[in-house]
Amino acid sequence: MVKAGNWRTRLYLSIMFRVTGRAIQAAGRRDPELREIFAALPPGFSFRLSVWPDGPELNIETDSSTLPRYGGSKGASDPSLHMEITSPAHAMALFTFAESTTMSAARGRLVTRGDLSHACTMVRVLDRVETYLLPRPIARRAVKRYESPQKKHRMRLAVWLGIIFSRGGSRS
Amino acid sequence: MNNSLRYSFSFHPGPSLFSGYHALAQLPYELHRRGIRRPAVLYRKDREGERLVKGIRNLSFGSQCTPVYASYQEPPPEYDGVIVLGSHGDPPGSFHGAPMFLILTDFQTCREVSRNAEGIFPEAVFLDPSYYAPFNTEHTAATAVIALTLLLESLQDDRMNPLSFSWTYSGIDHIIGSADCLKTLEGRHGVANAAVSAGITASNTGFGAVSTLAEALAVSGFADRAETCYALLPYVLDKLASQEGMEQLNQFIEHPVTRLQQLLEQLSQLGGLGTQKQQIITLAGCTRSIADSPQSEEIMQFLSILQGVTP
Repeated sequence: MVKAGNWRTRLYLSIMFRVTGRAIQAAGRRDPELREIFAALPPGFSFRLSVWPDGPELNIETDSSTLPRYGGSKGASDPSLHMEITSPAHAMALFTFAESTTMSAARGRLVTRGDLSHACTMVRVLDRVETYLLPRPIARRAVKRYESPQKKHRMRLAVWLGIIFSRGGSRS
Repeated sequence: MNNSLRYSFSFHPGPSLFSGYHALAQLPYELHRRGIRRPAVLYRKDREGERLVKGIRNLSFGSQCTPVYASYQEPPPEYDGVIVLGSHGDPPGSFHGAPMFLILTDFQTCREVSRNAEGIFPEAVFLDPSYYAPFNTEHTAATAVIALTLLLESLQDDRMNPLSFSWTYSGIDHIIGSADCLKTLEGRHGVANAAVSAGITASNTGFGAVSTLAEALAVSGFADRAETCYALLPYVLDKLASQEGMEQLNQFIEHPVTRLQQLLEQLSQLGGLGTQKQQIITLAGCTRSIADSPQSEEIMQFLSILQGVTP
């Protein structure tokens, strides 16, 4: 069966999902604000971000110590929160930072299944992670309101090292 | 009971509207959400139709949807939804009943999304500038004039309510913003949006005398819709100047009547309109006098104009 989007789109999205997933795991373990956010989520919370119909997936689960764990494309069969991007073209707009997560949701390109408060929380998490991943001019376009976190550069280095050296989905 | 409680209105929201770049990428998901697996894609078998079909084919890759491509004249035997490419003509009666999705451009009659259209009230409308045909300013200007007529006539209607007004104002604003850049994709997209706004407004307030006559003359092959609208719209504007609808518009547009008259002239120049102006005005005069006192002379004059003979 022919897959949605061309091979460049699929490759780019696959890399971006991997980087974002690992960044959520790395930042969620090091940034005090993100740790607080994840601690407030219910125990065993699972989150999936995917591209409809057969695009890449990003699965995050909180472990017993309420820290986020990136599960690659393997995740709970019925996640607590599932955010689905409605097409590869819309995913490209989101992950090339042409539009922010909130704009994407507002335009009906990001469909959410699960608790609305959890969806808002995860959008905040994604925004925060993007401020660590991206230089300020690009991050300004990618997030709703840009806030420069404390010790940003130190945290940015830690997040990027976490992305490169973490075992991500293979972590047991 | 005070006035605000006595005031009541009804508003029928139009179809789901997806507008802007990547809007059409939403189509496969909308079909999937409604459980449509085998939609009939109706298109004209010309170069433009083939171009649009290629786009739809690329979009449906990976989804479980298997579209059946067909022309208007040869409907497929089985389908559970209908996707109409472009706005030219209504699909035949055999397609009525199935959920319908319209992919529109800046070339519209503005009736595509109206409830009054014959059985063609769509579930969703898509306006994606990347799928517009190579530009034709005359078509775009004609659509703008038709949309402007529907919008201004709706301002005169008693059924106008705050929600209809917001659609009307949005449509007029789109046309004003697009008139100076009608040759660009931005301007064309503005006109396409205005045409959809006009259709949704007309669904709620009904069609006025000018747009009804324009439709009748277009169906009879006497004059284009835009020609009729251009010829008779100044009368609508004159009447509007003293009405409540214009008072509302005054809050948003400075000197609306003058501005709209200038806009109409600008659009008519771009669209090359005005060739049948005098004939249409005479014809409209005849229809009015026939309605007041049906005399055989006036009917004969009316028929002679319709047959293309100058009275």
